[in-house]
Amino acid sequence: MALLLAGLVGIGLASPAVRLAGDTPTAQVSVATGFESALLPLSVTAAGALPLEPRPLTGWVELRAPLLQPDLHDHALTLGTRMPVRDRPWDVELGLGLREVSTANDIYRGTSVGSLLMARGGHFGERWTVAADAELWNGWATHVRTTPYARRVGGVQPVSGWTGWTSWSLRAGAVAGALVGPVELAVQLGYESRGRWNLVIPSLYGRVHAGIRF
Amino acid sequence: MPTSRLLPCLLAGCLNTPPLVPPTVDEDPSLPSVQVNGSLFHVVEEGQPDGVPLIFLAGGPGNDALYLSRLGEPCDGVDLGASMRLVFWDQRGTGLSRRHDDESLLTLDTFEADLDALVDHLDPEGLGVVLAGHSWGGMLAASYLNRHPERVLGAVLLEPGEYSSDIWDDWVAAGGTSTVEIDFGAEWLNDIAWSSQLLTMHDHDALDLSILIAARGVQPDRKNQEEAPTNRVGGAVIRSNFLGGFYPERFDFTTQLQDYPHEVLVVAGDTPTSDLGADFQRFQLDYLANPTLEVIDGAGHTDVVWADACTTVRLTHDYLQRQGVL
Repeated sequence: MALLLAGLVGIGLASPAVRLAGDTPTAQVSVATGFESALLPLSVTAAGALPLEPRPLTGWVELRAPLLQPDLHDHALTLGTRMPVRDRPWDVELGLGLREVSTANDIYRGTSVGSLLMARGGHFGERWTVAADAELWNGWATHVRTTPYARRVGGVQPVSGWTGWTSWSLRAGAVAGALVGPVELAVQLGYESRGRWNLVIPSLYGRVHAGIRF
Repeated sequence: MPTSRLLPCLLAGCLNTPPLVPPTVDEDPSLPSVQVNGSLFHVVEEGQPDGVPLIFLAGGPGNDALYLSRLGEPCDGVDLGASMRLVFWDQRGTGLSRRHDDESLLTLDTFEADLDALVDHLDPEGLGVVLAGHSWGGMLAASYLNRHPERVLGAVLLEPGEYSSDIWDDWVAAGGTSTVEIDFGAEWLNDIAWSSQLLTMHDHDALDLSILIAARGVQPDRKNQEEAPTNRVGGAVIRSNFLGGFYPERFDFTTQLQDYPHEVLVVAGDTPTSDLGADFQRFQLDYLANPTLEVIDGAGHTDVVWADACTTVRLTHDYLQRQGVL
């Protein structure tokens, strides 16, 4: 319940790299871009910290969409929470998230809803963070509607309905960030496994983000 | 599944994903198939079972033979199937043929061996076959002609690709157009990447569906009057080719091409949007000993087998009459 609540109060995009203080409510709004399921997508994130005892809980909301070919049908909305295991500088943070991701292309329109499991381990200082970063995405349910074009030309079956697990990805990389006054600058990059026949080559992800705290 | 059943589906673990692409010969044994060279191929036969086999070779590599099907239809009183055995073959890993996880099987060498085995299967007595190949299929036909000229009663090359890597290098050096130029800001490229969040390409179904997203955009300069259909693209074959794993570094189908003394029919369109059109075919025509180039006005790369299939059927019929096959 606390995780869900934290997710709901969070507003924003790329989750903070440097830990939000837990004793007083703090918030951050940030924007990010890079290479992440698209070339130069734009992410906007709002995050907040709940002063839960004994450890602070960070929640955030992120909206991400391709920037080069803007299309309201292509977007991902993520609701995430993260909590440190020990609340010490050298620490591990574990997180949970829910994501809705949609697309529309020549072949199908689709919406997936699924879960995120996140883990970070490293140094979480008051002004800077360097950590290893892992994230597992599973799309547990997907609504697919194939297009008339795909059925006519592509041999695709007429499908319109919910299907089960259709997607997963596993990220492993690193994140580094620093607070310069109220401004957080961070970079995150790594490898993303997306299946045996992945067409996104090289299978890397990377993003830079800038946020402001208030 | 209706939306109202989503929650029970989630709770129960909804794994009954409806198929988005048609089944292959492994998944649907009722489909017509042929087992040769260690794989199972979808092969549709029409026309006269006792006639000379006319084997249609699709392009790509990665396309299936459905878009060549109009070449088997009667047109303006001409019907190739009236006296010939028409064979529409989905090459390895394409169409409804078997999928392979081993990418080392998706190479030029294997595809050549597949065609060798198919010809042996269709023509065990060695009486001869006719090959009709479009684009990459024309290259495969040229390869067969180069290696087994004695088995070929006739060859129809429909806007074939290059007969050797040297020819292509010379063509580009002479200012010829390139086949594929990737625009990293193109919508199709972003769509494929974005789509991978919803349909992970962990199996051939997802791959074959996802790669269709590229179909319209990957060669934007190729204009056709109509879009030709596919049963199911061979995503792994296209991926292997894209990653440079299909062709060897150099290949040459011309080493003995001049030894084939009979007429070879080459059909091409003449639109500037077809990079393998009439200009390119003239460029590589002399590698054939006895070629006839027929140009279809206004035809794009795929038009020569789809929108303008009727013209090609007539040209093929006349050619096969000259060869004494009909």
